[in-house]
Amino acid sequence: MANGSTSSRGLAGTTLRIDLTTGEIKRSPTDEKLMREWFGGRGAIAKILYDEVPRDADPLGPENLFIICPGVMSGCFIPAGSKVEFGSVSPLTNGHGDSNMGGHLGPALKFAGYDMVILSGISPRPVYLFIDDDRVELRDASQYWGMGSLECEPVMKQDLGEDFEIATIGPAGENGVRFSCITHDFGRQAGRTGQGAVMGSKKLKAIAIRGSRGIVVHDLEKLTEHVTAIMKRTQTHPNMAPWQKYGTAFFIEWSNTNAVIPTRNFQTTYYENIEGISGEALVEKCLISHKACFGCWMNCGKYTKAVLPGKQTVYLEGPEYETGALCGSNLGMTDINQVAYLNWLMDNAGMDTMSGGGVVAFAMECFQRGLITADDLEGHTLNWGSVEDAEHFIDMVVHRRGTGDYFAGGTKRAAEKIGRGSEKFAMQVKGQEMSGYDGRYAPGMLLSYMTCDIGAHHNRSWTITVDMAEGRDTIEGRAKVVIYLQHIRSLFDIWCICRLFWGELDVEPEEIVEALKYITGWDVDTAEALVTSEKIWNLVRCHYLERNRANGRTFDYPPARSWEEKIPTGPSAGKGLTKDQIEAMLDEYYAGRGWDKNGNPSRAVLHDLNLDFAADNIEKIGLLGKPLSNGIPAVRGERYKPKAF
Amino acid sequence: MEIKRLKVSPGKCSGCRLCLQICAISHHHETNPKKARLKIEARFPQPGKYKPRVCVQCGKCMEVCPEGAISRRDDGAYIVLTEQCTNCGECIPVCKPDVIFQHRDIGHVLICDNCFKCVELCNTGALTMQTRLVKETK
Repeated sequence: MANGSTSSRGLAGTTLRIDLTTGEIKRSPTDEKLMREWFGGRGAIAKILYDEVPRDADPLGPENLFIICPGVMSGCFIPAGSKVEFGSVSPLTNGHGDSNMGGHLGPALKFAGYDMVILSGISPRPVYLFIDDDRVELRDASQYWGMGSLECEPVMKQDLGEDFEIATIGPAGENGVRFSCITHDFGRQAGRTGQGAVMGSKKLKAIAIRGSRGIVVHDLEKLTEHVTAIMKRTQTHPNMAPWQKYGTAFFIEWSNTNAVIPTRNFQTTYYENIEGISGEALVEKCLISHKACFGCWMNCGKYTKAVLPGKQTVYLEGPEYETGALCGSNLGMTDINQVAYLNWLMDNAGMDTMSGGGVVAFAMECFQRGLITADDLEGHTLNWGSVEDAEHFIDMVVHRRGTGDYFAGGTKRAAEKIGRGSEKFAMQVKGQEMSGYDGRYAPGMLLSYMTCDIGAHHNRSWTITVDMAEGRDTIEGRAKVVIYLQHIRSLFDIWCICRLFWGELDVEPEEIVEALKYITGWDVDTAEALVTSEKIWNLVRCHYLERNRANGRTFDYPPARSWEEKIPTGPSAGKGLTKDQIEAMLDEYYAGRGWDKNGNPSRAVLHDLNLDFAADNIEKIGLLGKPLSNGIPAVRGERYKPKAF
Repeated sequence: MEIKRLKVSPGKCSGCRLCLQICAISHHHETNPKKARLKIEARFPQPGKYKPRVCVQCGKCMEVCPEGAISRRDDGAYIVLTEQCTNCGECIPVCKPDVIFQHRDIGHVLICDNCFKCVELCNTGALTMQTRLVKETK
């Protein structure tokens, strides 16, 4: 069957289903109803995972699906229409998992004629997925298996052609390290929720795509006029210049000045050596060139090299903010070259630098406290600020040697093995490590981690500037902001476009929805988009409850450090939250969502979102939320536009 | 005569490909970088830079075209006469920057026609328009 058989605009037309166990490849017209109702990307992935993955399926087993979906806007003439969403049940959190990356892979998949690839089973041998327009093949990858992610990509380009877009996993993914990532374009990653581990479990080493088709949109003339106007207007936005110069690394010093930067495994929030790892240091010492994703005029990517005495000079993209914080101050590193080197090391190993930074920091604190010793580390130490120590430890984790195997499951699993109170400073929620902001004096940020649907993660609700603006000593009202942001920010993961031009350049959601209309011809408005995002959020919550079978509230707590320890040093010294405040934030959050006090969605809100089937399912296992005495909130999440600067 | 051409500032390109998108949209009414008339060479992992490749208006394509299907406009641009072009591709190997393209949907070669739409969207200054005076040639 020829590709492109759907009539919907913005879609490529064909969906691929690939059984890796048998090697069977099936093509079918893309389900337009699914794409319209769930908007593709994270939305379509959430529905398919919910419908098709058995609740007792091992995330690293054959029944789990691995889905690639670039959504309806990716690849179109739209600001930063570069993203591709990956989804599967997460081996890190045991719930719905999704993660996306920019670069050029998602657009390439659309240009080849495909809206979605759904992979199941486990291949009997290492393979890579080869797509060259109509040619779709599973090819032997034994020559690439074992290669580092960053080493594999140029070799595959040499073998296949420079114009193939390549995504790879590294040895971490191959070995089942649960926070493994997918790498593309020499440094773009889908880092969170262990999507690389799922690829590895399926013996899928890489994806190589070349596409030569165009995407037909509903009204190209209006789309071009509209998007060109947005781009020209924002070229002179005051945030454009710092963004182009530093990228997200700009925030390293900002976070320290505001005393939220995680330092030595979130022990404190102010780092004395910040100048050495700042955005300024990155640009001065490491920068080679500015690097953009497909269709983005902000070029926040910083391509760099790290030069350290006694080490090979390495080339990488980054460190971005999260890596800079979690592999910088959080590990006690003092020089940007150290951070960049660790960034490269983890990228090449194929592990998420955020969870990876969190895991190394947790292990370093365990070492600091004598909970692990040189005997557990093959005779090595694991001291703050030591690249040598971190490098050896990472190697133990990647290859799951000895104690390294404990940590390959993330901090939560490692703490369960180590015990002796270590769970109190295992900085994770639902098994996923926290992002690069300490929430003890940023209550909205902590609540964001606690309630994030894929485990602790900043991207779904980045409230740090709201905490600053609204007052860091209060918690009231913060839940509504978190809910609003969880809805609007997730839209970008649904549409598979970058959120930064909204967050940083003041492009309004209505302008993006207008572009969506020109692309698809759909009758859609911002209100419907936000409700759809809320619907996906609730479905993902139900999925989590059905797999983990306990009241949602039990999964929403941060580690005890979050309330037992006040911040010890820096401008926020003495500040912190109480357990009562954390409970109160959860109460306010659940009420704002129309969930009961146990954190379980009520039938009323699920019915309102056309999720009666999910209500039925959680009712069967006794986890349907109790009826709400005051009815469901009419507007769940108040409108709030945070300012980034 | 005064001619216009694209000027590339080395090291400024960030590889966003907006130039490829707007080029294909302008000429072929679709988002499809494979129908663009310039290209971005990505030189990674080393040296880690992008190099836009654009038409330099050298005219070699016109010289070798066996069909006389390429002509020069007053502003210096070399224009493919699409009715006459047989898509034989003889112009491709003589193009030093390697920016003459073929696409299976299109029956003629694709050469930059100096519309400068790419310049309008380039936000890094990698692509600019250069105007210069040259002696008339026959």
